[in-house]
Order: sequence, then structure tokens, then C-alpha cells
Amino acid sequence: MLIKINNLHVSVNETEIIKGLNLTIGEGEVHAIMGPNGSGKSTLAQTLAGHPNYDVTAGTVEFAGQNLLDLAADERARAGIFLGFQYPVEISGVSNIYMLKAALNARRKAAGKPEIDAVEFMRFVKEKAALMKLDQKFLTRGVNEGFSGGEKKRNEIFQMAVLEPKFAILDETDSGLDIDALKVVANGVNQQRDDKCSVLLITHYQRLLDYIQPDFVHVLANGQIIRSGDKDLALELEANGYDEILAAAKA
Amino acid sequence: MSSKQTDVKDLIERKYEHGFITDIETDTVPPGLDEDVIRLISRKKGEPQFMLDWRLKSFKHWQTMSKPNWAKLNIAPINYQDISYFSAPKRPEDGPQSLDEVDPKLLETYEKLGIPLHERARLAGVAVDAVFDSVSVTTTFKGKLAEAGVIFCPFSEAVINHPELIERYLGTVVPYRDNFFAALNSAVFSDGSFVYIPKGVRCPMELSTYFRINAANTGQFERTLIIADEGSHVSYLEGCTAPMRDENQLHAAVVELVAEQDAEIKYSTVQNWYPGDEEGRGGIYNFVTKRGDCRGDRSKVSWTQVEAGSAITWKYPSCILRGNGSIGEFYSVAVTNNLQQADTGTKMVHIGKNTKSTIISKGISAGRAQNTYRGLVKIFPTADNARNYTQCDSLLMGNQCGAHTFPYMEIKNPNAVVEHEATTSKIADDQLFYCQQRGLSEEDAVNMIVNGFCKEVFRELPMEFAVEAQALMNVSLEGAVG
Amino acid sequence: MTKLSNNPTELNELKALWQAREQSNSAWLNQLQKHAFDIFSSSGFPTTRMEDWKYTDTRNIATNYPQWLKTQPQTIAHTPALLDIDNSIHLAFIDGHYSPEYSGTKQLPPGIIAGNLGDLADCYPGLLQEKLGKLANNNDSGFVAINTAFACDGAALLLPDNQDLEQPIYLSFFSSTPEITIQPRLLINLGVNSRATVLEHYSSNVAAITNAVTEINCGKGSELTWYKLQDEHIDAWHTAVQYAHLDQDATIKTTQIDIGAGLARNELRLTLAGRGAHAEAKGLLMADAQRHVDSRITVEHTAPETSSRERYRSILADCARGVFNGRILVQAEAQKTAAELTNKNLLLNSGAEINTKPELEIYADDVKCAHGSTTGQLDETSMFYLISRGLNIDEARNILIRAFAGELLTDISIEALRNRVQSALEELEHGHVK
Repeated sequence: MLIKINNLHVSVNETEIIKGLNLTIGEGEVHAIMGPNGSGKSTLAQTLAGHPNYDVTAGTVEFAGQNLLDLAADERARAGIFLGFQYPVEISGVSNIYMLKAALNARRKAAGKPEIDAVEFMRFVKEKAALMKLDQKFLTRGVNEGFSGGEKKRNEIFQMAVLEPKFAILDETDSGLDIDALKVVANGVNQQRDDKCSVLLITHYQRLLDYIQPDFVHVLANGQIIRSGDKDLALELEANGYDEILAAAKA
Repeated sequence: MSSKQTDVKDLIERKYEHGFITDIETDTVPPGLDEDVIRLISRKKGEPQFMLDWRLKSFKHWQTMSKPNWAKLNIAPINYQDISYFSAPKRPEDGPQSLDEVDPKLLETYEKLGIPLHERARLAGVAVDAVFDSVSVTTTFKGKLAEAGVIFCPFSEAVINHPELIERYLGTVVPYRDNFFAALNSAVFSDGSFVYIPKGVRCPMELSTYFRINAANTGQFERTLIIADEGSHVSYLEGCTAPMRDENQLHAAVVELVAEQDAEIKYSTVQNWYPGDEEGRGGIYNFVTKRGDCRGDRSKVSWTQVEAGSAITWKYPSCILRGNGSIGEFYSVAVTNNLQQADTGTKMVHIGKNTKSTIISKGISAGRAQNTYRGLVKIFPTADNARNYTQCDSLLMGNQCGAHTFPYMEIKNPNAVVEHEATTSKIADDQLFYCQQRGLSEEDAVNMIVNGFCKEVFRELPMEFAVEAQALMNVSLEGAVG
Repeated sequence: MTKLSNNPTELNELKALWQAREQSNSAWLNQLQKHAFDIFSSSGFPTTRMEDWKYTDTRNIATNYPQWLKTQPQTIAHTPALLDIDNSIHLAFIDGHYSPEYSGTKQLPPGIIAGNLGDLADCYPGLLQEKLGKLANNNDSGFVAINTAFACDGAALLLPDNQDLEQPIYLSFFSSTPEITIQPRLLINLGVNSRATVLEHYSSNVAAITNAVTEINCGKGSELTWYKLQDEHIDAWHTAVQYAHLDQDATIKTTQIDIGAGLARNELRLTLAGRGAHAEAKGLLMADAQRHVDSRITVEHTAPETSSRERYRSILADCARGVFNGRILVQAEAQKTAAELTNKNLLLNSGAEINTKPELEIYADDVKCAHGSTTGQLDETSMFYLISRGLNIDEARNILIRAFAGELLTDISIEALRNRVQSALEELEHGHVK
């Protein structure tokens, strides 16, 4: 067991969004969370990453034996949590590669390892960029600056590949991607999975799950997981929509 | 974010690193200013008559002037009779003949400042003219420069050895009537640097001056004159520090640059005068007049400044683009924290045809500081096809500081293109969160974003200065996250 | 502020005129005017030594002000140059005085009043006393102070809550008596959730001085669309200041257009004082010959979540001199403010001149503020494109000049105003020395 979420309640601006969520994810497992707009999917992602605007009002989250909620956002990242943002922010003047190197070294330092050798780092980064079919010119540009929507998403997975997290939360990483880009992103995620990284996929559509086969699928509605199943649940949702499941849950 | 408050307190209490006082004997004139003091300064320096006459003329004119009050600065009244106008480290002989003769304590001071004066200088390839209080202490690399025909020496030495150059150029870029502080400087300036690059010579190394105010109750009034003759090229660096003192000290310098045809002068400053404490006690009043005259066709003057210190900064390094096709540049980072005030910017005066200017200004305001960009772009009717591009960005850190932009554009030629852009913003929370999510601490994230904000300016600095400037920025802004 | 050396003759003349003026029955109004005159007596008219007046020399106005103030209106010789606006509420002022005869609307709707301020004060004491002179600051310049001190005729638009006035209100000021000084005073007060459209139109066919002051209060949730057209004679001098104060969620959309006068100075001062207030300000300045036009706007954000967008453009031909000053001021309380100002200037020939200064003064940190200014010629690529399609240089120029101005004109809701500006543009295109 890598992460265990128990009875989680989260409020934003005093409005409760997550209302008693339970979820356990084992090492190397891929879980998909699906649900209608406003069900709390992104709130869950931001909360696990430690965004200060999301108030945890009740519940616990255990991550690799630590109390996750005690850690600040950067401490969580250094402990191995990675959030692939739905809307990656642009930071002008700060090059992508500079930020990555600083982030990687912050992790290494936290793990008691020496800073990475510059030559070694470049070799490593170029390899990962090639994997993500990311042109090397993106390495030296400002973080996400002037990137297209698809480029930003690929950049997120590229960063994930470099930082090698234990647990990756991918928030609507598939939105705005064409089929070729989707395959590249999925390929990147699958490689991480082989390296025992656990993944929480947040998505609207079943499409992504054709390329990243989840071990479990959960339906989130009104701040709670109302149904869990295997990958067939996603197909069922795709065929019937959410209404049926929501109605069944209410009944 | 939640963890901020405690960090802020810890960091704000950090002390000024260069605030040591060097205990050496100095030869200081008692406070006060009248014609006799000026005669005394001139006599101590053994100046020719023309210098004394010029000083006295300047003094007479200064007495008719009043201090400028248009800047967005709150300046406590200055009593000019309380200031000592001359302070030199005392020595039995007239001055040191070589580094070995320099007071070891002085060398230690430079050591602490990290000035590459000794063998380090040789390795770094920097020739240093160090001005301590008001007097030039030593200049390294004289021999190598002399081979190239470059004159780089204390101003007072140039007055004795090259009076014809001084008489020809002094006050031709910044006349003594120019403004209140320039007039005062013209009357009482004690030393500074003089540079002459002969025709067609590319100065073989970066020239550098470090200024330090050490004695109490003294003002520092250095004067720098750089002449780049036809087709020559020089890069000049200036750094400065001062010890911590409770009272304000006045620094009123004048820098004149002359670029003849096809000549290029690059002038870089990292200003780190004592900024005062967190309650605004003490700190240097940095009232400086810097101007470059692009006299010749296709000449170029480029100013780069990183202004991190001083209680109050009043400074507008400017370019007079007289020669056809001449180029003026101004790259500036101004950081203010605690109760610091800065009113700084530039003037680009386009007179010649096809003249170009670029202004990049980055202001960062934190604590209770006020940071103002003030600039003038003036296009004369004669300046056909003149071009200016100005970009002024301000970053606010905390809700008690201010950032202001006052760009004046006066355009009298229909073929000119003048573009100005300015933005004011803070570091966005989502940018911080993004960096933190990747594992960076909040402070590292802020430093990274701030350095990114200043990147366009830092990359104009010579390498070793760029590193110093980045470190200085991080130190100046420590605890400013809010 | 620099202490001024008032010309004692002017001041004494003005003092005599002021003392001799017809006093109102309302003590509060007399008091307001006395206070204003006291301020004027110590400040005088502005001079170029003052930062805000450094490019605009008003000595000629100052010298002639008292003499021309004595000028009595003559019987009108020409038909006033009025705009033909469909279905408007029209209040006409001839030589500074309200003229029911020329006003299109005989019976004014309730809440809209015009005439001598003293008379209005007698009839409608409450609101007038509460609002008049409250926004206008006599210390801002001698022109504001002297307007307040003398103001005789004016109009007040006092719209109650929840009133949506569909008809535009057309306020026309026409001077036809040579060498006359007029000092209109306007008060606009929009109640909660009210909506209105107002056009101030100044024109003349003689040398005259106009010195106008307008005070605008926009109540919570109200929306005002305000236009000003300054179309004075080339020998006329025009100064005007408008103050607008916006409450919570109020919106103001302003368009100020200068196409006339020998010397004109217009200043719009907006204060966004309620959360969520929003301003959109546009300005078009066109000048040829030897005209001098100074257009400025200050937007002060004093409440959180306020936003403003300012777009000002100028086209200068011949030896005309333009001045633009745009100031965005964000006070410490005004967190989450967004403000953006752009200023574009076109100099059509040598001799023309622009002095521009977009300013930001920011005391709050959570803001997004930006300004930009460009001065230059018509875009060469566009010129070449048009010429390559067979247009001659003049035609291409004119199309691009019209496009440059046109961006500010498209959403003007009053057709007659749009047409007048278009024809002024054509005059500028054809008339000026190339």
C-alpha cells in the first residue's frame, strides 16, 4: 500500500467539495477516477499535492508511511508526489531545464544524495525528452512559455519522467491532445508504471484508458466515490453516461 | 501561504554583510563647506589652477541652486555644513608605490569584499582602481594597459599627468550647472577614475573600480571620466559598499562618458551601498549623475545597473545620441526592500539620424519600499528614423510597498518609432505552487522566479558580475516573500 | 505645488467681477463659490512650471479670461452647429446660457434640470447641495476653482434608482459671441441600477474661452455611457475637467473626442470606489494646423476587484502639438485590480509633435496592471499591401488613418456623433500639408 486516503473532507472558500472520500492505492497500481464536471476530481488532485487554497477539514492521508497532510507542497514533491497539472502555468525567464535541475537536486538533497553531475543530467534529460518526442528547444525555453496546449501536457509528462516520482496524479492530462500526442503521453506514463510508479489518472473520457490500462476505475460524484470496478466500468460509463450510475447510487 | 510569516521574520533580521568598519588612520578635513575648503582640497591634491577655478565656479553656481524635488522620494533635509568633504587614508608618504606598500588592513578590507586585487586580480583579468572614501588607493595592471596605450588611473593623477585631456573633456558631458548634486560634486570631488582608450584600441581587459565609504560623517564625491576615442572599445565595471552607520551618508558622484566615432563604452554597476536597517535608520543617499555622450557617428554607450543598496537612490544614467547611427542602451534592475526608496531610470536623447535606444528596466519592491522608474525618451526633429524600445516591468512583493512608472516621451519627428511597454504584477500563487509541486522550497522558488524576471538585464553583465548580482538579489530579497 | 506668480491685474479684475456677480439665494452655494474663489486667489491659473501643465501653456487664456468674462452674449447670428440626434433629450446652451428655444426638448423629463445654478439651487436644494462641488477639487487647478467660483448656468441630471433612460441626453454648448468666456457646470447623478447615455458637445464659430467642469456619480450597479465631443473654432480655447465616482459594480464607458480648438485641455478623473466597479475609457485626439491639444485621464482604483481599460489615440498633422497623460493609480486597498492602458500616436508629417506619458502608480501587490504606448508612422507593410492592390499612396494612407481612428469609433451608439468624427477625419486627411 502506497497511499491510503481515509474519510477525506475538503473545502474551498468554505464550500465543501470532497465529502468523505476513501481510496487506497498500491505500489505500481494505476487507478482512474472519472466523474462529471464539478464532482471534485481536480480538488482531489490539488489537495493531495498540497495546494494551500484547499482546506482539509477531516480525514487522513497516509503516504509511504508518513502523514501526508503534515507536509508542505514542496515536501510532498520531494517525498515523491508528482502532479501533472490540468493547466500548467507559464513562468517567463525561468528555463524549463533550469527549473528541472533545481527540482531534481532538491529531491536528491532531501534523499541525502549529492547534486547531479551537469553532464550526466544533460544526458538523462535528453533521453527523456526524446522519449516524449519533445524538441530540445523546449528545454531552454521559459517554463511552458509560449507552449501549445499539447506541448504543455507533454512537458508535464517529460518532467514526470525526469523526476521519477513514486506517485503521479495526472489531472486531465488527455484533454486537448490529438491522438498522436495522446499515444506519446500514454507511452511515457506506461514506462513510469513499469518502474513501479503508482498513478492516479483523472479523466473525463474513456479514450485515455485505451492506452493506459487502469487496474481500477472509480466514479466520483458529489465529493464521494460512488462506485469502483475494473476497466470495464469505464466502458460502461462511456456507453451509458453518468446518469444511470448516479441514479443507481441514489437509489 | 501558511509557513511564510515565521520565515519572513527570521530573514528580515539578517544583517548587512559588508557592514564592517576598517580601523585605519584617516586624514579628514573637518565638516563644513566654503571656498577655503575647496581651496584646501585642491591644494592637497596639488591641482593646476584651471581645476581650482572650475571648482570655485561650480561652488558659486551651486550656492544659487536648490535641490530637485520632482522625484518620488521622501528625503530628510541634508545639512551640507555637517559633512566632511575630504577623507583620505593617512600615510607617511604621498601614496603607495606598489601593492606591498598598501596598508594591510586596507587590503584585508578588499579581501572581505571579495575584490580581486592581488593575484586573484591577475587570474580574473580585471584591472582595479579602488576608491576608498574619497581617494584612489591603487590601480593594478598599469603596465599591461600602458602597453596598449590605455590610460586608467585615479582622477587626481590624471589631473597632474594628463591635464590637457581633463581640461578638454571635464564637464563637457555633465556641465557643473547641470543639477544641484552635479554642481556640488564639481566643487568638491576628491577622486575617481579616469580612462582614456586611444583610437582603434580594444581595451585588453575589463576595467573595474570599487568604491567604499568608510569614515563617518564624510560624503563621497567621486568623479569618473571615460573617453573612448575613435573606433575604440572598453568595458568598465563599478562596484560599491559602505559600512553600517546610523546616520545617512551622502554619495553624490558624477560619471561622464565620451564615445567618439565608432567607439563603444559598456558601463556596468553593481550598487550595494548600505541600505539602512529595517526601520530605515542610516543608509547611503545615492544621488548620482551619469551621462554618456555618443558624440561620434555609430558610437555606442551601454549602461547596465543592478541597484540593490542605498537608503535612497536618485539616478538616471543617460545617453545623448548625437552621432548619426549612434546607439544607447539602459539595462536596469532596481531592488528595494524595507524602507528603501529608489527613483531611477534613464534619458535617451535622440539628436542624430538613425539613432537607436533600448531601455529594459526591472523594478522589484518589497517590505515598505517605494520603487519608481522615471525615464525620458526625447526625439528631436533632426533624428530621422530614430527608434526606441522601452520595457519596464515591476514586481511587487508584499502589500505595503509601491511600484511606479513614469515614462516621458517627447517626439518631434514623424519618422521616429517609439514603443513603450510596462507591466506591474506580483509572483502569481500558481507559479509558486507549480515550483513547489516540483519539489522546490518557497524561497528557492521565489529566487528562481525573481532571477528569471531579471534575466534580460543580468545577461548584459560581465560573467563574474552576473553571478555576484544574482547572489546580491537573493540576499536583498530574503524574507520579502509575502 | 509651485507657488504661482499671479498677474495682479488679472486677479484684481476677476475679483471685481466676482464680487459684482449675481449672488444666489442659497447660502450654501454662495459659500461654495467663496471658498473656490479664495483658493483661486492663492493658486491663480496654472503655469508650465507645474508638472501637470509642463507641456500646455495657458497664459493666453489667463490673460483674456477676465476681459472675455465681461462680454455679454449677442443675439445669435448663425444657426448653431448642432448634431441631429434622433430621439434625444436635448439641452442647448448658447454663449453659456441655457436656451429653451434651441433645446429640442421643451418639456424636460423629471430629474433633468437646466438653467441658472442659483435658480436650480432654489428649486431643488437637497440633491444639488449634497452633490455639487463634492467631487470637483478646487485645488486641482485654477480652472476648476474659477469655474466653481463663477459657475452660473448648467444642467443636472438626477436619475432615480432603477431607471433605464433609453433616450440619449444631448448637452450642447455653442458659443457665437466673439471673445466670450463661458463656464458650464454639469452634475450627473445615477441612482442604483440606473442606466443613461450622455453626450457633451462643445462647439463655436468664434474665438471664445470655454472652461467646463462636470461631476458624475454612478450609484451601485449603474451604467453610464458618456461621450464628449470638443469641436471648437480654431481660435477658441477650451479647458474641461470631468470627475466621475463609481460605487460598487457600477460601470462607466467614456469616449472623449477632440477635433477642434486652438488650444484644448481635457482631463478625465475616474475613481473606482466600490468593489467590482469597471471603467472603459477611450479617447481620440485629432489636430492639424497649429492646434495644441492636451488630453489626459487618471483612473484611481480605491476598492478591490475593480477593473479599467483605457485606450487613447492621437493623430497629429501639420504643426499640431499633442499631449497625452494617462495615469493609473492603484491604492493599497484595491487588491485584485486589473488595469490596462494603451496609447497610440500617429505623426503625419514633420512639424507635428506628441508628448506622452502613461503612468502607473501602484500601492497594492495583487494587481495586474499594464500600459503600452507606441508612436510612429503608418505601418509600411500595410501601406505596401494596399498599394500593391492598386491604391495610390494617398488613398492607402487615408484608409489606414481611418482604420487607426476607426477602432475607437465602432461602438459609438450615437450615429450623428460618429458621422461628425468621420467627416473631421476626412478634413484632416485632405486638408493638412503633406
